[in-house]
Amino acid sequence: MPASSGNPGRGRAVPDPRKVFLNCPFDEDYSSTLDALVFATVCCGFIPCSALESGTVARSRMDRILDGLSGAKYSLHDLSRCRGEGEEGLARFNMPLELGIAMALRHQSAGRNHDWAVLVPEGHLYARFVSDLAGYDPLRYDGRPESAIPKLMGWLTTRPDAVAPTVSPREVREVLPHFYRHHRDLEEDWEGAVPWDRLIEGALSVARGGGLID
Amino acid sequence: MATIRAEKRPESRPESRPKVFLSYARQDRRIAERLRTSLERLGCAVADPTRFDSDESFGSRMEEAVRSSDRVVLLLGKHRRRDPFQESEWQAALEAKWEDADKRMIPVLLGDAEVPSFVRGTAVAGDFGLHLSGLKDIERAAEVIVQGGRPVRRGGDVGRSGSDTDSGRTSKTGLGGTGAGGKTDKAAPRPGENEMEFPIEPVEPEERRKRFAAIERFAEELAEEREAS
Repeated sequence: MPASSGNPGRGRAVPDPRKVFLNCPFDEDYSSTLDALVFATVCCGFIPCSALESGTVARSRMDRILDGLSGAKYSLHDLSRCRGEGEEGLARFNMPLELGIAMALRHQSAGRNHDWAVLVPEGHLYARFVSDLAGYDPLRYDGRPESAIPKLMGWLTTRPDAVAPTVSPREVREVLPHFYRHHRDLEEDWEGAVPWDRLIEGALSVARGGGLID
Repeated sequence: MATIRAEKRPESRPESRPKVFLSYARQDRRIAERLRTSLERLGCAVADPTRFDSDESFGSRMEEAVRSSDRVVLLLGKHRRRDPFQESEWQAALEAKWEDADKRMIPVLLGDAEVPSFVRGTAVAGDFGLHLSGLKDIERAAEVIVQGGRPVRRGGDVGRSGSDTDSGRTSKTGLGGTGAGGKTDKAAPRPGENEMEFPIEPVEPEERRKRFAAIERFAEELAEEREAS
């Protein structure tokens, strides 16, 4: 499976129908939710991708995002951080920016259609500041990582490239604490800078150990 | 061709009839409306999301309608593009099925449509689908949906099938019941009888194994790139 590369719109790899680009915050507060999304994605038989996967490679972050998004047929965008934070009350707009890229990819030529979903906490006022999204149904969760799992799994499992599910969100949630523990162990081994490939391997290993996948 | 007489039941209380959630793509509206009418004629309460008001609460009302239904009927045609509204309904149906394993999802296929993988993956023994050849099958399909399975002959009457035990022998083109003797035994249906019903086939494990192997390969290749850089 070749890594996607190239300049935007020229020579990029065909979107991989097994890949899901996770456009999510990377801060400490969100880490449990990100872990839950990575783990659930693997349990559904999809490959979680992220701008983090190219680690410290000397390429601009935007290049990595463009490569990641265009190389994956699916993407998930969590807009929960799009709210005023800090003394200046600024909201982070990287997620909406990447969502916009994903929406544009969808309108490219046939066969490269990109499918995306938005994940928001219940009651989030995203429709007020991204009113163009008003006609779309986001995946809503209550802010807890465990509640994001059925929403993600319900979306992924109904995609045309899904493999038939044999596990339920309840079963995934039961094994999730083991993945949290595994991630903490990796952070100790890697002094916080866990490579994305190790995270995916860990998700596979924990899912197999928990009897969730073959 | 012999016809099956519907079992004459005493006047039923409305609540004994299943509540049905009807999911369909907008391109299949005509057939869906006929099916809805047939189901309502049989006494079912049918939730049709296209009739909900389209305001901010649409999503939650749709999800609640799915959750409170006894049966989710997925009308599936083969179309070039998927209907995004129907996809939302599928997600809601799947989440409801995960919460309540007894909730039945009944795929009703039109033409060359296939059973979606999420239906195959969550099906249990006895779950069935229906294949409609045309509008003429709609009333019959509604009866089967209400009865929860193929009608079987017991003497001169027709009752519910023991589909939990017979599903392994049913097929898309006909039913292969044992037809053993005895007044209370289920007789094999006659040729042409309820050919529309088929069992939902289990998931092929090989397909899933290949997918997880691909995830593993991706992680390995990513690791190689990282180590090389």
